[in-house]
Amino acid sequence: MTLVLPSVPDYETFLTVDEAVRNALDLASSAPDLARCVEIGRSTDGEPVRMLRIGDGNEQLLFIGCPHPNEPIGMLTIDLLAHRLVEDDDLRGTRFTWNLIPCADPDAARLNEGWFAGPFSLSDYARGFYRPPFGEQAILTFPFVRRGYAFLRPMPETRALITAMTALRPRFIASLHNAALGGGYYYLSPNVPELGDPLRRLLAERGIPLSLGEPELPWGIEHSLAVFDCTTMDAHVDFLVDQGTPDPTSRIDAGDTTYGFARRVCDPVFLICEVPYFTDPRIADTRSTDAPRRTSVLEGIDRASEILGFLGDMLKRMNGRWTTNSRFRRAVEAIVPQAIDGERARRRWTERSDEFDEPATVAQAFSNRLETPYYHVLNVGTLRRALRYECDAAGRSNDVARAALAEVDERFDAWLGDFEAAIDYRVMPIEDLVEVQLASALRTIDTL
Amino acid sequence: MIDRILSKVPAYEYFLSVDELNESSRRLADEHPDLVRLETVGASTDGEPIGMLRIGHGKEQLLFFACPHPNEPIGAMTLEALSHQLVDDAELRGERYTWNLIKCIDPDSTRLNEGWFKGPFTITHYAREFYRPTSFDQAEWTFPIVYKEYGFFRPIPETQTLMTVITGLRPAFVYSLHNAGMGGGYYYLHPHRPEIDDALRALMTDRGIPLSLGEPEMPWGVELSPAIYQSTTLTEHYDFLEKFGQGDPCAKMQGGEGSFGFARGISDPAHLVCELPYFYDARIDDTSTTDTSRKDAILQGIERTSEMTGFTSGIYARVGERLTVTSRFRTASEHLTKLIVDGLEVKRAWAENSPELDIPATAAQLFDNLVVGRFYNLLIVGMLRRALALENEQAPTPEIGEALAEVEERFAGWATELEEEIDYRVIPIKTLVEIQLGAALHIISTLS
Repeated sequence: MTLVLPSVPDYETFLTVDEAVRNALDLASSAPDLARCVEIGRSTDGEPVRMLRIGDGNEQLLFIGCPHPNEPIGMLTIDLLAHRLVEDDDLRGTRFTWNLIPCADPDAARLNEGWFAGPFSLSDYARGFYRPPFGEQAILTFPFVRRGYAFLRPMPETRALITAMTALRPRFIASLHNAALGGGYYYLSPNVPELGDPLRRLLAERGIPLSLGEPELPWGIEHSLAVFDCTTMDAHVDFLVDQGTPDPTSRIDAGDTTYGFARRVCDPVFLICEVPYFTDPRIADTRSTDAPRRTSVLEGIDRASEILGFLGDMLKRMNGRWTTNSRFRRAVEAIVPQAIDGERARRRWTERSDEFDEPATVAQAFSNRLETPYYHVLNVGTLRRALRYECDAAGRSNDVARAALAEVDERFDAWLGDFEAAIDYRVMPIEDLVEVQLASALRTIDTL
Repeated sequence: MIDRILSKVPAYEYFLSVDELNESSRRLADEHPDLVRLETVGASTDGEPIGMLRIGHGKEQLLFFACPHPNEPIGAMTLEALSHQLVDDAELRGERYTWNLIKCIDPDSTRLNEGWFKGPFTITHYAREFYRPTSFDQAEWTFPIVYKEYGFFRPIPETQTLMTVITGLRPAFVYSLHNAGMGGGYYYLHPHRPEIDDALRALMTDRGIPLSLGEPEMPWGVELSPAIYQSTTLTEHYDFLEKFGQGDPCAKMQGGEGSFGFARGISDPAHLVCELPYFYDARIDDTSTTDTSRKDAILQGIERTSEMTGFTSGIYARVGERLTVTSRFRTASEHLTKLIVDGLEVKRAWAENSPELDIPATAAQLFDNLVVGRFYNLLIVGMLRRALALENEQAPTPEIGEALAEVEERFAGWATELEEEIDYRVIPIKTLVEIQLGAALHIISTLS
């Protein structure tokens, strides 16, 4: 049977956490014979993490909404899917139980709600953005041991996902991530070759360019154009140990990925559909430019280093001056040194490796010059929020923080102005993004 | 090698407290940083860190966890002994394994038993200071599961800790260190290796511990050979209820899967439980026949238990509403009483309508029904006493004082009777530790 994509309404805004959870609870109480809402754990701040269970088939499907808190498309995708499943007997079927987690990290998602209602622009997104450091991400603290490296400290949000995954042992998991700027792409494991074209078509039909620039993860395996193998931390540990890192613990402070964990528990088909809020056609343009790829990558690293250097200076200046310990502060303090380290490693790799002698494509140039630096500027937004929080709490007594905030405000505005001018982006209609996420999941489920 | 290891078990005079166990682990890790790591792998319900010793550097993981029931501290002493021997004895430690030892998986509840850990080891003292949570508050029985119509997604923090280490380590062997109070010794294990059955039984019989040869603890238990049972899972309980019970099995199910059922789905390890008593009376394994029929023995036992439940329920009916302190003691004793009352009706009907019980009872069966049952009843009255004593301490009223006095009197009366009727011997801790340790080493020797 082929699952038919339900019609998707027009959305003006994203759901808040409260709305997403209330909708799930309302649905369960209005259709108690078809849907129930169970608590699978508690967030770091003590909020219930809930899961809607619809249907009563023997095989379990799991959808994880808001796996990163700045990625709310999945909350809408789940909301839509849940309502359609209850209304539509054919879609629900008898083979599966549909398990939907509207929001895997409610604490952190709430800290993004400032931009959920629009207006949607690179600047507004950057101002309201928050994302925890690796070691605090729901999807990156799964326990594992590998070649002397052991990580056994899952976050509470991760423990909720462990509970759901070990109880359900799902056949299929959609971790509803999304990208921000550029084009769309997928992670799919194990590869289902016949899905490559239909998945790409879902993007193309809605005018979403394929993301064909620099890959998100340099060691990623590409099954086919814009369809990558899901990543695991095993691969990362192996990479570090094989490179001769004496103690991987010094370089990683995180656990396994959702896929790495799920693979060991029940080896499901695992799909991540990365659709962006903001598209630029250059990300799909594979024509060559005049510059070698190495020059392009190094230019991007220079831009990133400028931003990270500024962040590092500001953090140094604030060292010992903080009176608050906000999530924003923790995030930026953890991320900046890691990112500086990462850019340094990337520079060494770029300078030595032969594969950078070719001319850069337009897409690669876009990745290097604009996409990646923009993601680094998001950290400036986080520092700005940390400083605002500090200044609100400390009042006039923290002169250092107030001076730092003024400087950060100025640089942040200037950088955002640069990106707004340099990128002629299109804000994607939310319904198109939801439709791609939902359709790609249903397509994949059809192949089970 | 096993004999050498067992011969070196110290003559412990008392059980270590949670603080003493933690202190000992910390010291071992500090003194042997090259061999021993102490990692925090979770936190208890009350927020206390749960530590795990990791000894050795082998690739395969062995997992031991003690105090899954907080009134069962023998296992903590077994791990105390094992941890020191692993450091001292390179042959025991070996190259193949990493030994992961959690001396106390439930520190909150174990602390509530510390009143009897230092002796004197009498039935009365044990019962006065005894505490054990009900099934849905036990580290052992709240693993998440979906089975047929039943779903359970609420692991307690202690179980979440076990989920972290089981999924993270993917152990080849899991040892859940339980023990009994009074009666004979027996094992739960998986997979069955008939070639070591005799050695396992000899560990007990060589040390004067009788084998438990009566009814299995749970009616769905599968006896593999005398005193050796297949490790149990919630799914068997469900199937039993589905087959023999009336109505929806889900209505009678409580709690979640056990450590064996959970671990089987993760790494299918060898699993072991070694149940040992603290107290021994020669009648426990006396199979000579008596003048009383087995039916009468069972019915008389039911009468004695009804007397206890009637007393306990009566006290709660009278002062339950006035209790202001929500103590673990109250939750456990009140809930347990209800469970027993529900079970007694079924048991009485079974005994009255089973002609096969019209045979002379053995001395062991008579002892079991008339005496051992009352020992376990006394433990519940002990917890009732502690609930009222706590209330009387924190919010005294004349009614509570009166009820407490009544409970004290009844407790003292029943305890005195049992002290007189039971000619018990207290089994040395060293003996118990030798058996638990020896059993583990036998199982590990069979790992392929």
